[in-house]
Amino acid sequence: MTMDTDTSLELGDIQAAALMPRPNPYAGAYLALRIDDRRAGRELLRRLIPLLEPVASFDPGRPVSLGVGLSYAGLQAIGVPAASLASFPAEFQQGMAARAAYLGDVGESAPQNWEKPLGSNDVHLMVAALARDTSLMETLVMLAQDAIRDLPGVTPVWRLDVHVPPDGREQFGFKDSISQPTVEGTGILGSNPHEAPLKAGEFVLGYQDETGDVAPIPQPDVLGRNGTYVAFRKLHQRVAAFRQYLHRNAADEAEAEWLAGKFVGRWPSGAPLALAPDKDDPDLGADPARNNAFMYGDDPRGLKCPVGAHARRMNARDAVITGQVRLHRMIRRGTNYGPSLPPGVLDDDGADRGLMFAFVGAHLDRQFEFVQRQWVNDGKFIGAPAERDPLIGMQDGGEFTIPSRPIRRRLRGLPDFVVNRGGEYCFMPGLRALRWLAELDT
Amino acid sequence: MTTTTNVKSGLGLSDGVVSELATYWNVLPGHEDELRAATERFADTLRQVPVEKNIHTGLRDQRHVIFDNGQRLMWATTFENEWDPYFDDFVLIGIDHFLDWMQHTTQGAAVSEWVESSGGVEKFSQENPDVQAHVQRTVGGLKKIVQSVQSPATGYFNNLNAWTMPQILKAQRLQEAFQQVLDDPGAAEALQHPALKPLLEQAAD
Repeated sequence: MTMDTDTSLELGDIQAAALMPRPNPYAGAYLALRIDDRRAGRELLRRLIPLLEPVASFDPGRPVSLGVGLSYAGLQAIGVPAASLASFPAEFQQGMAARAAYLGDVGESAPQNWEKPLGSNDVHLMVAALARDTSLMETLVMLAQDAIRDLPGVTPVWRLDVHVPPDGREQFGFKDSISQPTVEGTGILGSNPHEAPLKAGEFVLGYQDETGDVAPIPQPDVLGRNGTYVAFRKLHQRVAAFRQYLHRNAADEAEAEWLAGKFVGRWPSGAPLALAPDKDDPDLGADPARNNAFMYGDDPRGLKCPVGAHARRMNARDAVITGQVRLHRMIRRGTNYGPSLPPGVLDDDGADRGLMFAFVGAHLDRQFEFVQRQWVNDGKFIGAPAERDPLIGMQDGGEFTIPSRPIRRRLRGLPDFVVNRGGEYCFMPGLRALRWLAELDT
Repeated sequence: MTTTTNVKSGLGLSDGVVSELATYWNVLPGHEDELRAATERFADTLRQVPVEKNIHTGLRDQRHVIFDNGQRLMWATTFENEWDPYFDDFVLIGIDHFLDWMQHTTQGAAVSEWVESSGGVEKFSQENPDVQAHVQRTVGGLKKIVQSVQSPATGYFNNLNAWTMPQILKAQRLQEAFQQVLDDPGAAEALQHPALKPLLEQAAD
């Protein structure tokens, strides 16, 4: 069942990869390119545009997703005029590396430790190619690589292959990508029937957002309208450290799984603690009609799902917190990279494994950056200033409270389970904007 | 919420146990930068006062705002307690700290005159064993100046209007002690006594 579409939303111009859920299962690749010659960069766009689909013609049954975005350095490299460049928001202009301290990317997650060339000015154009299986993905990647063939002024500088593992779960062992917002006027249903659709302007530039306003968009209008922003981050997951911590703090496997569920806010199957507070319910986790159909209003103390659990921090729904949830909703995409650590193994094998995270939204500052700073790396909004997101927060020996009868559990000495290996802010233009960029003659 | 406005006594609005006092001064031309620095020093001074001493003054919070292109200064405080003892005790943190920023306002001349007529800055020093009595004898003059630039709020809301600072601090001490109890492996058993039922009900989060 789809919603009525708002005819004023230009669904024929918005890149489908921005709004449509990724294929599941999936295999894919993220490619970063450097543009050394603006004419070559524009020719690349001319070649890529026919491969891109808008939301209007996207077929959910068709198992491919291809998206293109440019960093601020990329827009400069392709020759966008200075006045246009200046119309982009400050945080986008600065880039993710320059925002590291603000985002909590310190210590091992600091930009000087990032995987090169991430964080440098060499990441100009990002291509995200996802398909439902490996052979389709390889076809898609070949199409993208064909697009840069014979373009000496465009250089591939980074690639990350992503794939769903055999068990379909992210590296910590949890079903992922369950929660998606409903975006008004798109015809794309979200996964929580209790959540009213969010204004299109939260995710697409040029439309009314949840504040009731239309936010300023990059200029000229043809460039900014129907675009959106993407923040991507290569997150290394310390799976062995996570398992070790759980086992050190649990009497047995069952308790270790209980602790893990409390950290995440869902059980490994994806079943939400809000609906299954005591133990996993695989049938619930597997049911897309039920596994996100919940709120937190009946659980103010967090006795079912801890108020500081990861999923509850990412989307507090109707919980009583400091802040308006609807102003900070995000489209989040996650894809696995690296080999899985076999079940039961507690020793780190040194492999690089983790999640390629992507945020999509129209406001880098009050969506991605706000959540990262206020709801991931701080706990004041839930009355727990000493606590951070137990799964992805920068811990530095922090603590996590699990409400429980008769006595709450308070875990201490949490290490960092996730390290940011690098990322960038990209602008994902509409198709008309991509043609405008391709036709620049600066 | 009580609404009490009395220009003569200088009372602002109250909300529960908390009252407000907002004053509006004129900045001496060319003194904006020095005033700004002095207000930062004033806030730093208050920050270094032990919390018990600030409780003694009744001060909840204060801020300075320079506005109107550097021509005006708002000094706003909220406090518990009655206005008179509040102001007496607040001044006891050190009259020089008030002079530091007041001297950059047009009202500063009147303040200086009041200090001189009250026996000079030395009389207000903590070194003076009689300082408390001296303040009580003389502070009326300063109050008059403050009242002359005060405007009571027309609407005032304080989310913690039911609790005084001592109550909040006591609650925090109790909370820390309670968390120590909960961290003890014997807590669940210890809290089973019927008399401790109210505590057990709070132990789950």
